[in-house]
Amino acid sequence: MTTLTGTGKLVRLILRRDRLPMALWILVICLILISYVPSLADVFPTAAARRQYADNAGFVALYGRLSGTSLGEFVTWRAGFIPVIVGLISLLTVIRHTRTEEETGRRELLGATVVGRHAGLAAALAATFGANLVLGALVALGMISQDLPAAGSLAFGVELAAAGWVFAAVGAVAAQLTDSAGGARGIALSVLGAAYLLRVAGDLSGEAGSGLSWLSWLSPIGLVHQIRPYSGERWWILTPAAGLTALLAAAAVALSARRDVAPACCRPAPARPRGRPACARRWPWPGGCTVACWPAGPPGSRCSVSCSAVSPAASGTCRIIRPYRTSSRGWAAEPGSSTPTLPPSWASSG
Amino acid sequence: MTEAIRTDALVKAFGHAPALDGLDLTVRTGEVHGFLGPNGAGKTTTIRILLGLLHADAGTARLLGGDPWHDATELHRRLAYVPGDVTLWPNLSGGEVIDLLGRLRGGLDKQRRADLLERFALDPRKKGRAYSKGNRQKVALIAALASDVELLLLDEPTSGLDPLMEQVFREVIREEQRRDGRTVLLSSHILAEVEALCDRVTIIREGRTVETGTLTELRHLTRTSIRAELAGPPTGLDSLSGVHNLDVQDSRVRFDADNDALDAALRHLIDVGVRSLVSQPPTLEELFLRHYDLTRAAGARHAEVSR
Repeated sequence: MTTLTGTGKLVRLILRRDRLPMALWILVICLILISYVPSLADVFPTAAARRQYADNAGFVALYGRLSGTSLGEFVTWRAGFIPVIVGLISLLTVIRHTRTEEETGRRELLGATVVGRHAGLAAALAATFGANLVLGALVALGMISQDLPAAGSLAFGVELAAAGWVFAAVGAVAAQLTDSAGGARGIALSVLGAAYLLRVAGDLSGEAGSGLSWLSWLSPIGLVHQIRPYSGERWWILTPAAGLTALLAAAAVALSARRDVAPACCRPAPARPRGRPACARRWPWPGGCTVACWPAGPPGSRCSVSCSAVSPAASGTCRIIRPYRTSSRGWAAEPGSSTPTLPPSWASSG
Repeated sequence: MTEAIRTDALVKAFGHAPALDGLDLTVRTGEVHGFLGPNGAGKTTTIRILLGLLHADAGTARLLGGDPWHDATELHRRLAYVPGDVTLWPNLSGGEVIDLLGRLRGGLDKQRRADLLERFALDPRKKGRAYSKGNRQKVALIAALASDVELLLLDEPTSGLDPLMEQVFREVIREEQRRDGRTVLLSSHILAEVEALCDRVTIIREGRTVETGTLTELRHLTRTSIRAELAGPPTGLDSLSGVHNLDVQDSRVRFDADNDALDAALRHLIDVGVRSLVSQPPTLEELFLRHYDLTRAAGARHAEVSR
């Protein structure tokens, strides 16, 4: 496979560049999770206390639904937001090593050496997958060290790693879609946000007993929650999670194969060739008010304008929002309306 | 094989914006080939196609006997590239980057690396974020020059280098020239650099090849502009063929001379007596303007004939 030539060397480069931040986020997440075990056992020693604590719509939205009251179940429930964080870090890492590299031109420097066409993408995914695997393994070991059951601990590690994998692949797809790293991050973060909201909707609905709890299953975040560590681990969830990751990664490779280095799959529309017409203005208004106007509508040669009048009296502002349209040459009232007049409310509202 | 690079009627467009519009480029093995053109002429696009980073829309390109797109990975073992605008990794030192690029290319000559570091006066211990533009350029140059490759693709490699370093660069390229079989494609918009180094030159404009040949062959395009202050008013300059845009004000004179008319024109000035003399070699811009005039004139003649 010549398209993957040099992937190993590029993985090494990523690890060399990111050794500090990667080690840091893996360790911090591990330590937080390990610290949960004794502190939660301490504060919520009984099943009743745990159930009472978790019976709260806000917490259901934030962490998900409590599957049982054993310490392991309670800890994984309390760590319900961690998969979102792992997903976030993973997608950012992948974009940083793909689209950012292209945007800065460093990809070109590397692309001229003996590296295959897909080596950069493959290396970013491999390094991120690997980091997630390390995180999962360390979390599992940490949980076992806190005397939690081994199978559940392993499942917990797998849950976090799977969340990281799926969103690493989401980042890889997003990196193909725009020509800027910022745009790619926007797309990937929107997907992460949508996944989180889907899970919230599904879990809240499930808690309320209405029929929309299946929404959680559509969300990668909800999906990895369904592994349910310490609560009769559902290992088969790994199959759809890994399948989704593979599907997204394959889509990223296919998109990347269809384009040149640097440009995106979807070419952006040509940028505006001129500056916006200056729209914001102030002028005196009868009655001692000053009217300030600023562009409010979608940018264009004509801009819609919001106006507010500021009364000279210090007692407050009299405001009116009234759309005017202006061309770049001059001002005109909204078509159909006559010369702007002072609404009666202004005089009184001062 | 005698041709290191050959492109025929290369076409590439970015959306609606055409970048290359039938570009022909032939670089013979072992030569230093100047690739000249104003900004946006398509130099970088051509080089990116030759590197297999871009896929041409139409036309053919051959590089070292292979296809730049399909055989990219194999071909890259045999070439090195320096982009015009080098960005480095902020937390990697210059030395690390040189070694990284060398490793990815399949090894580099350690002795030559040390030698080049010294000649270009580059501190390899600094991190990428601390380098100036010129120093970043040097990092990529050293990495390319220290690797044992057949072909160097240099895209405006001296942008950002100070005159002293430009001189070093020229010396190094001249040495490359003496080593057997090394081919250099040097893209530039600095005519002096190309004149100093290149055996043959291709000039492109708006994605098309405008001229190609040795510099001597291109001399017909160039005029030297002369400004002189004389002992008295000159006479008879206007009767010389090859003197253009003559402007005489008392004893001051300005004109542009074709290179083969330079000798006669200067003799004329010396006969009157020269107080001061400024001669300017034609800039690339003038060359382009001149070429533009020629093609327009030819176009007009053609139109007249057809009428």
